[in-house]
Amino acid sequence: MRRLTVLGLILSACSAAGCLGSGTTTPVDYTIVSPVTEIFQGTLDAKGAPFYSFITGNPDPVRVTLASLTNATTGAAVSTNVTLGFGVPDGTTCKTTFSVTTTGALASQYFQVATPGTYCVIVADPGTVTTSLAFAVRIIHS
Amino acid sequence: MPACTVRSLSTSVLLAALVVTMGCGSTATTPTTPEPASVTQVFNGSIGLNGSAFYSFTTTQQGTISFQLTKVQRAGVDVADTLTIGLGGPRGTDCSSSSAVAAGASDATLLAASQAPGVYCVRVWDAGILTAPVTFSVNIKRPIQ
Repeated sequence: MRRLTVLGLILSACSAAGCLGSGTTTPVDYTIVSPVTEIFQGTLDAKGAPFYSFITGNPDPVRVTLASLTNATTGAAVSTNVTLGFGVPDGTTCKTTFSVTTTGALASQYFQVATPGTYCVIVADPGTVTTSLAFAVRIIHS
Repeated sequence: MPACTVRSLSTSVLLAALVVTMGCGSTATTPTTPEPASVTQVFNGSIGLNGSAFYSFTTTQQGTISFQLTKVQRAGVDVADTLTIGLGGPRGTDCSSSSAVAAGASDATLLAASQAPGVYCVRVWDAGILTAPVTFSVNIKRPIQ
């Protein structure tokens, strides 16, 4: 009776863990236990490249979202493409390891697990900005 | 010779050898970690009244970080204006300096401290002294990557 119970427990555990050759994979948990949200707000002028530095405390995902991009004068939303980058502060700028040309969106443009350290996010004009733009970047990290 | 005597003799010889090896009786010296090779970066910038500028860099090993304010100029001419310089970490859109010193241009090392590997920044700012914008040069000496 005891052996049967133990076997049952093992089978249950195996089933839950997917070790019976079912081909299932354990999903990766990208949940940040204690997320920190920082908002990088600024103005992007033609040829400008403001950046923002922050510290991550744990090897957790970093999410970066260009959440808002508007005309700095009128406040109207614009669809201008700008460069959004992620990297490390270096010299008088942010040296990027990732960059994408994008516009304001609801979904994260950058999502990557980062080791603890100092990082930065940069918003730059790729040559498309003709009038000052107000932007807001949401950075979620640990 | 009884076995216990042989054993005592062996122990004495071993202890004596250990004492000689460890240098007992001589002045004890504390081992020191050699300072790693360094590199000097030049931070050239300009600041206006009450303005600031900063420069970031990464060190990958423990070592001394120091800096010198080598030049302060206005319209290309050396001036004796005092600027404030600090060492810290990049935070937000600025450099959060944890230690700072006010000085004019000279060859003197303004600040030198051993730091753990990490990302640092040197911030230069006007603490309300300038009467007109200036350009400056700061030599930053740090462990080579």
